[in-house]
Amino acid sequence: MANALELLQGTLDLLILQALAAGPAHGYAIARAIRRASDAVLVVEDRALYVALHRMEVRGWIGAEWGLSENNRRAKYYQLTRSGRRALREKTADWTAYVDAVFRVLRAREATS
Amino acid sequence: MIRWLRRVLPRWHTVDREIEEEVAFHLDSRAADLVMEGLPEAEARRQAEREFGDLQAARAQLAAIDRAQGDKARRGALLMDLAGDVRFGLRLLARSPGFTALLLITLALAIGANSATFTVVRSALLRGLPYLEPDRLVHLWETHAGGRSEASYPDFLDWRTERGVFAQLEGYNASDVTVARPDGGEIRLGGRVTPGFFELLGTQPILGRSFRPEEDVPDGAPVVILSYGYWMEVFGGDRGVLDSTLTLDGRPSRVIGILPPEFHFAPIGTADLWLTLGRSAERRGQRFNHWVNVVARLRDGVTPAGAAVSLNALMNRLAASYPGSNQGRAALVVPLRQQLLGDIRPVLVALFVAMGLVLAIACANIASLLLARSLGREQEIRLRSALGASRWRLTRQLLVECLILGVLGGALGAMVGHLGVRLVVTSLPEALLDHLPYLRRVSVDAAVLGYTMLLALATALGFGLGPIAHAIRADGRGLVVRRSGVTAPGALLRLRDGLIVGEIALTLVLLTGTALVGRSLAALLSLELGFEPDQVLTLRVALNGPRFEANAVRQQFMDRLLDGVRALPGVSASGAVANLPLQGGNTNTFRVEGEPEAPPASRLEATTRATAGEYFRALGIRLVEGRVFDATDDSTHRLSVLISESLARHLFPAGSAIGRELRFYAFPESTWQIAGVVGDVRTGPLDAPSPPTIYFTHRQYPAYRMSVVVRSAVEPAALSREVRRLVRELDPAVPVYQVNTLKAEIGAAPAVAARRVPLLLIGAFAGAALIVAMVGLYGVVSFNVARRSREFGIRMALGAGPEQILGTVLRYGVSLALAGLGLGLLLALGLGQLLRGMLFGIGPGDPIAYLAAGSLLALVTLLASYLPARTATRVNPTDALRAD
Repeated sequence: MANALELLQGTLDLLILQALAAGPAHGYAIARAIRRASDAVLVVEDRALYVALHRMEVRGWIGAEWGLSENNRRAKYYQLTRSGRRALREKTADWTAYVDAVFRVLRAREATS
Repeated sequence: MIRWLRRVLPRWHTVDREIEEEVAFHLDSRAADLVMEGLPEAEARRQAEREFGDLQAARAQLAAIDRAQGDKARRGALLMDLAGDVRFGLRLLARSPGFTALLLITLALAIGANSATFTVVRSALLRGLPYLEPDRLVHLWETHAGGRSEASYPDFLDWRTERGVFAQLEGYNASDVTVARPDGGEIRLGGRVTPGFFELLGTQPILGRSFRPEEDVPDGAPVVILSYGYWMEVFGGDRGVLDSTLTLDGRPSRVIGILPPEFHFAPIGTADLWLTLGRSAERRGQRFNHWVNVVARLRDGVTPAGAAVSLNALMNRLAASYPGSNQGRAALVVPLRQQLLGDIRPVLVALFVAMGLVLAIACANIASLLLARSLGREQEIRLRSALGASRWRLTRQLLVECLILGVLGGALGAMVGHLGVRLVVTSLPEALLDHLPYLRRVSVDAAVLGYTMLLALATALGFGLGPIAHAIRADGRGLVVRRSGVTAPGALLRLRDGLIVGEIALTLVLLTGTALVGRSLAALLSLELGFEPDQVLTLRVALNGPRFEANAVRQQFMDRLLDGVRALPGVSASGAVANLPLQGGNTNTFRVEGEPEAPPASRLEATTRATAGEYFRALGIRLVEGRVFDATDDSTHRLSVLISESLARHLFPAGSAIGRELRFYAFPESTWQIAGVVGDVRTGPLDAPSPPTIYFTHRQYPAYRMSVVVRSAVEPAALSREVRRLVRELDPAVPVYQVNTLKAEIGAAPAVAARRVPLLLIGAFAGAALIVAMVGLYGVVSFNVARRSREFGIRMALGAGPEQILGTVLRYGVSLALAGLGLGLLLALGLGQLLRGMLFGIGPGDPIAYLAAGSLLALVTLLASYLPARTATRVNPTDALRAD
């Protein structure tokens, strides 16, 4: 974890939405999915993850429901709402555009230097 | 919805417990995974907690989010939330007390006035008559030459043979009854009825029995049935009164029954004593004597019109058999409901129209007030919307505000309504209340109240939410930085101007109606009456019963009483008359001796009155020619009459009336010589021309009841005590009643009451409308000033004087007022026709009434525009410019 990256502001929401795109999941499953998918490069503090989850629930991007986990415990499952899917699409597009732009700027500097 | 419920319902745990459980699940799962990776149990636990971050802080932060606004509804804490909305709404309303007060006044007036009026109208018109199958009950009349009258007893008996259309036919008659009481005689209203009368209406005595046929014969044993009210008042509900004896009109009468408390027959609404139809065998045999009121029950399937056809066929047969009495007479069948309500229909119609107008004005005002408010709030709404408040959240807040206004306005409206019902009921004429006694107890109808509140609320919601919905839809996109000045779409402003114009127009209609009726009433009260009503006391005495059967006894009683009254200190003249002026009375047909006889349909007819003492001097009636009655006019001398001036002119256009002779068809054996001609007096209704009148003296034309008139400067109460004492000294059993000043009698005349009531009601509505419209105009001009304050500031900075600014604002207010006045004038001219029947002495287009109403409204609207205009001139140019 020494070379783990701090998350940029706002990207956590995007990661969570992306994780939920596969289907309903509880908080721990989301944390695990982000860790695995980024090969543990992206470190998410669990506290921040839950704060983001609860905020997005209030905002209506995700809904929550209590269900049973793999080992038969009560767990809070989150899932995308319609507006959550729209937010995911928009944020993904924004993020891609943002990254592209940053890349173009960086390449331009490489070329001139 | 189901999904929403599933989400909401299991969530009754507290926020904290849920968070705790979620966090615990996470930590346990992570620790379990770490153990699988090979860490020892305790180490895995610590690592999981480390990865999570500050646990305490996390729990607090999550709880704060979950409890935050907007999330609460999801958790079923809707009520808490609503309380917040209500608090916010109340704060908002309290922040603009002017607006809130205007709206509440409007709501209260609209809801109150309407529920009051509609309650009364509903009780009077729509309530079923309290009889068995009331829709089959009809009232029957005889008609002749356009007038209608009661039936004669023989005709009534013949009508009863029409079994094909009438299931039952009964007669009734109202008459005063003198009741002997330990402390003297007392007059009570009595109903005289045929034996089947109560059965016809579906009523039977709660105690005792009804009349038997053998009791309704000319010389039957006197029996009486008491009203429940009389039984309670006089006997305290004592059952022992049954079979006891009351002395009625000097005859001992046995009590045979008590009527149920709810029984009420409108035409003789306050009757306490019910007797058999009675009357002498002679009178019962006279086909020309019309005195029986007839009510009947139609057979199933027979319409009033159908019954009229059969009845008139019978009347034609009777006319052929008895041409002397029945020629030219027909029958009229009127549904009982129409008969009972006929008199108040115009009043109710006027009320209804006035009420509708006020409701329209109030709704327009609510609309325009809310329109202005929501236009003013558009910025706020856009800002809040941009800051993330959801549409539902904003809408709910506004709904709650409307509800608060509705509840407060409704509560005030209920109070106004309650007072209004009392006002309406107390302003109705006594005679009408006697007809419809349940009106005295009427209270605001909850259904009506609810309906009016809903209407007001719907208006409020419609106009309050509409523009706001527009603002919400605009989201934050329209949010421009505009800190001062109010923006508003032009269409909404025009709508608002239109509403004010409409309000002013409708107010003018109501004011004009008030002015027209008011002018009529004034004209009525300033009429030349033909007598001097000031300083005259009147009271009535009834000389009934065996003791007064002989004419001479009654004449002697009257003469002695009047002599006694004349001798009282301070009395300048005293007399008596069978019927006071304005109260109508009998008419008689007659012919002039020596002139050709007219056919029955066009015989001369005049109102006749018996007089006693110095009647003409006491009332100040002018002697035109000849002499008034004096001591020589008694049974031993020539029969004499006095006639009214217009009758004399009509009968004897060329020569003098004095000495000419009249012969009356009712007593054709004698002729009456005209001894004098007196001035015209309004003996009939106040709003009709003075009818031709013939006066008799009571010594030659005896009367049973007379109104004593006393001209005196003495205070009426003290004077009436003295006159009562005189009556008691002469005969303690003679009742004294209807004690009043003549002035008050005129005030109570039906023609006056028929206008005073609508005047009061329309006037009250007009007042309400004037207030509401003024409030509306004031509001719209103020809004206009606020909207243009920057423009005014700039103009003043560029050198415009206050007069110019004042002029600009006034022009706006006045142009609205003028448009309203013009429109109102057209409407009022149309609606004036509705009042035609109520007008007296003026036409429905009376220019003075229109001018008065118009100038009052113009003045008020000018004031309502001037106040905000003056504010506009006080705009500080630098402030107005700096505001942006």
